[in-house]
Amino acid sequence: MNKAFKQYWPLLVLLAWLGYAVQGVAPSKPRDGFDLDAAGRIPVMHQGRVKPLDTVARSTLLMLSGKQQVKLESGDKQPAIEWLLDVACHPEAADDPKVITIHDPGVKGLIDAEPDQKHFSAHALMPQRQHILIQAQAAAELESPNRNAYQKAVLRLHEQLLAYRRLQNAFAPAGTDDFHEEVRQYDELLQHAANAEQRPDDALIQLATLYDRYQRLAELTDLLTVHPAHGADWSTVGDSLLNTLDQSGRLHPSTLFFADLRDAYRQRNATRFNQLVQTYHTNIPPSAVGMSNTEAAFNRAGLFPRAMAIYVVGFLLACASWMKWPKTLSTAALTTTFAAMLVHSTGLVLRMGIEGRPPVTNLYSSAVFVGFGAVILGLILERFYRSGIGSASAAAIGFTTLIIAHHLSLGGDTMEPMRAVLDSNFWLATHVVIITLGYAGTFVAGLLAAIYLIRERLGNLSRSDSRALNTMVYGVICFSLLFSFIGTILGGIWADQSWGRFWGWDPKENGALLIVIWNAIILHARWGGLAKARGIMQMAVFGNNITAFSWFGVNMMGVGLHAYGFMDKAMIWLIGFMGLNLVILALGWSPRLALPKSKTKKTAPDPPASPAPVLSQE
Amino acid sequence: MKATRLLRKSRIVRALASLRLTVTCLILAGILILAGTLAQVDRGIWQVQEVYFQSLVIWVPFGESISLPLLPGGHLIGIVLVLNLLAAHLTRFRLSWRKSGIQLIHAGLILVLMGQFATDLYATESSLILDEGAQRNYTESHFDVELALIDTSDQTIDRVHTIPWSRLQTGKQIDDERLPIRIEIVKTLANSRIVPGHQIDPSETVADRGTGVGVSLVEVARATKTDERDVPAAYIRLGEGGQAGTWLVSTAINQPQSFTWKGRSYTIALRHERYYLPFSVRLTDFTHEKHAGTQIPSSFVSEVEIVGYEGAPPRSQSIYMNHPMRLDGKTFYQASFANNDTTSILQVVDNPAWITPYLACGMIALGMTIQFTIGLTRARRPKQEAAA
Repeated sequence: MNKAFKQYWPLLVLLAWLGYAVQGVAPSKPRDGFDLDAAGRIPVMHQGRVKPLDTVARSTLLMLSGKQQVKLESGDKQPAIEWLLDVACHPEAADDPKVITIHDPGVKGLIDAEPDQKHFSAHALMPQRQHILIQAQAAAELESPNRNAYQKAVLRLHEQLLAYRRLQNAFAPAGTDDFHEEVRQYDELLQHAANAEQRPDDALIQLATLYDRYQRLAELTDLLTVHPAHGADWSTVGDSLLNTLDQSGRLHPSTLFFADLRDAYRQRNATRFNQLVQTYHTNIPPSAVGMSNTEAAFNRAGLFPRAMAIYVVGFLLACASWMKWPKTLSTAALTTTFAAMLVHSTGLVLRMGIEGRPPVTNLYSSAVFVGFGAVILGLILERFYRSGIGSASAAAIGFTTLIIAHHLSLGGDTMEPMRAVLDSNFWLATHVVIITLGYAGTFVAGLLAAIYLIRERLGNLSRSDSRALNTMVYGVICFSLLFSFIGTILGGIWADQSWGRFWGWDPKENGALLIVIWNAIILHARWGGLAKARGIMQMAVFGNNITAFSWFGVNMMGVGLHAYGFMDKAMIWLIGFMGLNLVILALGWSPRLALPKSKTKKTAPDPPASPAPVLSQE
Repeated sequence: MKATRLLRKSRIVRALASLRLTVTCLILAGILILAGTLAQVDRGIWQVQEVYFQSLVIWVPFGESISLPLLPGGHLIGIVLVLNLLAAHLTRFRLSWRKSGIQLIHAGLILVLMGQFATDLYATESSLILDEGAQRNYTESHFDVELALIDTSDQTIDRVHTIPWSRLQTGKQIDDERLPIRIEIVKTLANSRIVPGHQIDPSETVADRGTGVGVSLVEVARATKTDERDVPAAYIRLGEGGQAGTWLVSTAINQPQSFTWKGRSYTIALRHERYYLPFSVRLTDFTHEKHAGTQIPSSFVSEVEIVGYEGAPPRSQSIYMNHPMRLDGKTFYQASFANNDTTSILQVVDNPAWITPYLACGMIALGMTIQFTIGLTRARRPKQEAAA
């Protein structure tokens, strides 16, 4: 028993973590009797793709408040889908929670808010819409890089209010009491008008008024809730009602459904609500559903936050292994990080399935994928050198990239459709994936080198670890050079295919080339014996800055060097990261800060960067 | 053989072969690329390319009159790197299987560098701007403009005289016997806008003939963005002492400006330089689709008809994103559109070196594979020896 336990305990650890990870998939309990999960699965067309209503709720809420839940006054946490139903069905209830976050002091001044207030309710902001619109229009006239922080913030607030209003008008014109009844009358008027030989004047006037109302409704929302029927496209409730007048003369069943759903929700009639949703799911054609059921489950599971939590534990275990019980703790760290990687990659694969695309399609997914690549690299290193270093770097990069991804998701939907020029799965799968793996490689090399420099200065680096780190950094830099080089050339070929220019010196291309050149410099410096182990490590740490610059810096360039945009939040983080790397790099030149405890330990002197052959300079 | 041996021993070659030089060049290249990237915040990508990457040295102005060469430019670094690689192979590397990977990688690199050099020198890029239904047998340069003087007196044939922009300098007289009329360049502007009415300053030149009457020119800053083009313009005086009037010419003026001189009729225009094709392209349809419920474009497609190519009957073809048309050594790409989706703008590239990156990519990929396979097997060998 004891022996079996000794052999298999890591498996138990792994299973425990996986158990923790799948918990989220479980369907949530109905709230007040309403089956919110089922409502969240209703497929709609939004911003160019079919997605479950739950995704609309989450991405809108993220854009408004940076969260996926609403914290009510009572302290109760409201799921996003319930919040969406509140907004779309009875705004009277939804407008009170403070779901809109504002940071900019200028914008706070504009709306007469207290400087320390951050969260605002739609109720408080909606009356000021015109006021905000005037400011936003002025800001919109400038090109994005030339806008200052205030102009950006006011434009953002305007977009937030717009998004809110679009939800308010998703199922029916906001403020309508009994929409079902209204639609029924409209239908009656239509039938009557079609049948009667002479249309009564008042009926025509009524129809014209309603026509006008639905035209406005169609303009007020971008949520296409009515699924395609008879070869038509997805449409908004407003458009669907208007089309009835134009063509078939019959109401689309799904228009009536949303009217009924809204009424049932307003009347707090859970039984009817659940029944309606159930019937809708049974009757909707599979072609209109797409991947939305999978996506709803993916949203609910929250795999990335769970992977982040497991990474943290993995990292702490690996660090602890350098202090005490190296064998047990490093095995625990490896198992834990491996579990996190499984959760992370499940999320990645699910996203690919939902989107029907290769893993990297935008900045958000590049963060998820850089993390994935780095974790795999770290775990491979750990497999060869059981020192906890591979696990620690895997966990650290996995966690950080997922945090970055989370912040990038605040802009809205992370699976937005591709622009025409980027719409090529072949190049997305080759160029983009390969170059992103190159990024991952340089970050792993940079982190390993940072671990080397810090531990060496603290006198906490054994000779064997020092040798292992040397080989690891060398190997990973070779890997990065290979991937970033091939990726860059493939990018050139894509450019040649799509606009006839292999190389155009555009900032993103230059960024990629900088990574290639930096890796080539490190390798040539090593082969030529121009730098010793510590120098190579310092250069590898600097590689972090170069990669961060070409990954994010070039995107912020327009922002960064123009006036006030400099204080952009992401920019501060980027500068902080670069500064931290410089500090670690400088550590290489500092006097040794040996920990009192490890004075007796043998620490590594600065060896030549073996075992790669040093080219003779005849 | 003897020559090679001598070369190997030569001091210059050995100095050129140094790894220190490689690393120095790479560092300089890194700094150059960083500088050339940051410079794009304030300057257009075309200007940056010229100043930083297609130059031997970069001159940085200090004050009004002094300019100092601060950094080697792209071409210089490229040349030194190629020499460095060649010298290294001459002196250090011997032909052997073990080194074949590295040699392939470096040969590929040389090919990339030379290919880009050839592209910088020989490639031409132009655009083919077509309205739906229109047919053209020429493309237009993006930047280079020319003054065209066209003798339209004959019914069947036009006689075209063109003068490149570089020859049009303020105050210059163009008096060439091949030209039917004397041209005096009163004033040129590299980028301009036409505004209605006259300038307040009475000494300003004004046009007294043609479209330019009643309007004036305002100088504006040079275009810096990829999607902007300069609008060059000039005032020219035609004939001895301006007998045939003062004219405003600009690429912004589309209608022909005509005059008669010594019994013959002419039109005059400042236009983008034209490259004639041995066939015509007709745009039958342009479509621009968007993703449902958004403004995000999902596709741009130009349906064109190729007329008169090598005597073949007209045939149609679609040109869309990532699917260019290759014909007659030129490649036609869907680049842009205008006029409410009724005008398609195709980019036309004629690059004799287009194949080099493809070859180089293959060589480098193969080289790296060989190199890493050898590296891996060598890394494994000591263990096996130890086990034995």
